[in-house]
Amino acid sequence: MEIFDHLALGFQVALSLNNLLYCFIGVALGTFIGVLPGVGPLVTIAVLLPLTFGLPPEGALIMLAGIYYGASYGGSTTAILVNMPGESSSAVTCIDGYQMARQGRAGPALAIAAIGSLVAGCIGTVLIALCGPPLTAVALSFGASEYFSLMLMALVTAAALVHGSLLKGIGMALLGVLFGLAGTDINSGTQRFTFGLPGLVEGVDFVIVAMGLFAFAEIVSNLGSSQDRSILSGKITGLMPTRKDLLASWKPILRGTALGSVLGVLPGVGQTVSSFAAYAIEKRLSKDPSRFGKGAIEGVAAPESANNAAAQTHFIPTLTLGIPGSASMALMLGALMIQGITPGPQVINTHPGLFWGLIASMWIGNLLLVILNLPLVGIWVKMLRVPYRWLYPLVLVFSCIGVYTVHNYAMDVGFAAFFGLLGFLFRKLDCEPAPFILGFILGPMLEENFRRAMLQSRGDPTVFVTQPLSVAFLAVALLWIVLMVVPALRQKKDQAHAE
Amino acid sequence: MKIAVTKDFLSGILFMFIGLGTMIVASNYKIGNAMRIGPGTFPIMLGVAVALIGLAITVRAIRNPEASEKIASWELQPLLFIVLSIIAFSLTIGTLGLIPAVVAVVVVSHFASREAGFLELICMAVVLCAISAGIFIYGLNLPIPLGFW
Repeated sequence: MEIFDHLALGFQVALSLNNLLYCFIGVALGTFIGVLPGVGPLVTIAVLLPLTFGLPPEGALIMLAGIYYGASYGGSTTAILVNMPGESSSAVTCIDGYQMARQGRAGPALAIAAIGSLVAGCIGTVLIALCGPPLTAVALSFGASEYFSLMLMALVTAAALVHGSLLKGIGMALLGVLFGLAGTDINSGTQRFTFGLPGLVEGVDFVIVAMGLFAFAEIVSNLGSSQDRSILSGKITGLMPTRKDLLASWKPILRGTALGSVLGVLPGVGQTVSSFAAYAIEKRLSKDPSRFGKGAIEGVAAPESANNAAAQTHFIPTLTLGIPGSASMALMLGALMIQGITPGPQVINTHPGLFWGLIASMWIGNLLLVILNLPLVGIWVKMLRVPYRWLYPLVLVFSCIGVYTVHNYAMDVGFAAFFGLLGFLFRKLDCEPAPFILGFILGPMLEENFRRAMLQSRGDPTVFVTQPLSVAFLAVALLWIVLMVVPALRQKKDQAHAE
Repeated sequence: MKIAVTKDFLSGILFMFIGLGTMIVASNYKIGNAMRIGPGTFPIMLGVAVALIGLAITVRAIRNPEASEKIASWELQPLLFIVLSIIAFSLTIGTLGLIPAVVAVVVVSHFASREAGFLELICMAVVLCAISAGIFIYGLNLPIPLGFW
């Protein structure tokens, strides 16, 4: 069986002593930084990114996968313990997780989140092994027009599902595409939007934008808002979930996993939708929906599993098509590019060890997470009490060094400061940065495929609506716009975000 | 008519500003033709789209100002000093080295919150210098000079 060969290769790579160590370091550091108050998963990944620069590609990606897991889990931890979601995908975990914590059941909530993630991770890994190669084959048959429409669909989807108005979301996605175009045009050699600055000739590196938009802007708004963090004072008793908890959770975990796996494959849909949908389904299926919002363990188990399953299957569009679904996945993609690997359908064939090693190490990272976290919950709780005035200089210093080390170019840090300013402005104006970052990553590819499609069709723009797959993608994009314009559905989305 | 300066209104203005700016800058690049699209076409298309979206947001914000709230405060102090500290890093890292750059970040960013005392500030600077030099220079062997001495 080919699948087993692939997975065997993956585990062979991931289980080598060095890579196992990188994975462990990644998970440990990711969780450690991720649970610090006011440091979200994105910032965690961004801050730890430079640690991977010196490693070989496999090691770097495996460590990043570990960091990613640790950071997401750190986000869930702060969601449960202090009602502060690190990323929008763990926002829904806050609802019941925080209530459980207030009832002194933080331990079981954290344990179920970790166990749910592990189950989802196992199933997700198998799914990737099954679906990765056939989907890659489909992706390889895509022409320029299909790629263009697919990316447009991903952008519109991301813009439509984000918090706030559709118009703003699409505006942010297009702005991201615009900023992504800065630098030398590969077709004509024209320098665009470089304003005579030598540092812009190659375009702005993704890490610089992400660091400014997320890390720096987050520090400023954290310092600006007077934080009243309702840190849990009660002692956490009983770490392990009881038999009753496990009996109540296993079905939600499986349902959440199934939902997350399916939604995760769709480019642009992302983990947030998966976790919200999983929560809504559990609430509907429950015999007693009134328990939700008051500390129902299903309300933690389902969204956390869905979130993780989506993260896992998300690697399919991220690695095979180069289309990330969430901002942190976009950061992973950026890290891949820094390692000199262009994402696309060829990765699976040209770097099989890397592809399958990464998939296997995601599973191992997940397992390490459970082993590492269950005994350490008490320490994480203590870390939540570290005052922010000690933390923000640390994040600042690490981010600055991280930006500098991408190219050893001091001006890059200045650009990051500019994006920090821009990110702060976006935050103040309620403009979500997630579609922006997706647009920034996809921008150059979007233009390239647009131009190539127009060249191949000899200047006929109907090429985008005559190719069947291309039409299908555009139709989905249009459907999202229509759906968001229908007032009843929009209200439903607002409701979901408000919860 | 008095215009309420809401978040949506300002976002609309920002989008229009960037969209128009893009159109002006991109008008210097070649347009090409439908088959061989030049480097100017795509940016101009985007610029037009962004400006139109900005216009729509602005008009909507003026029509129903109650749909969006006003900005409560701008938090200029943290913004100013965080940005300054990053710029200080960018100016010192290449010429003076890691230790002066880290100290610059810690000292300048201190004024963003002013919560830490003098002793705490010194401790933080020393600890952060040690951590970053230990990890990045001795641990990862990244080519960053430690200091100018």
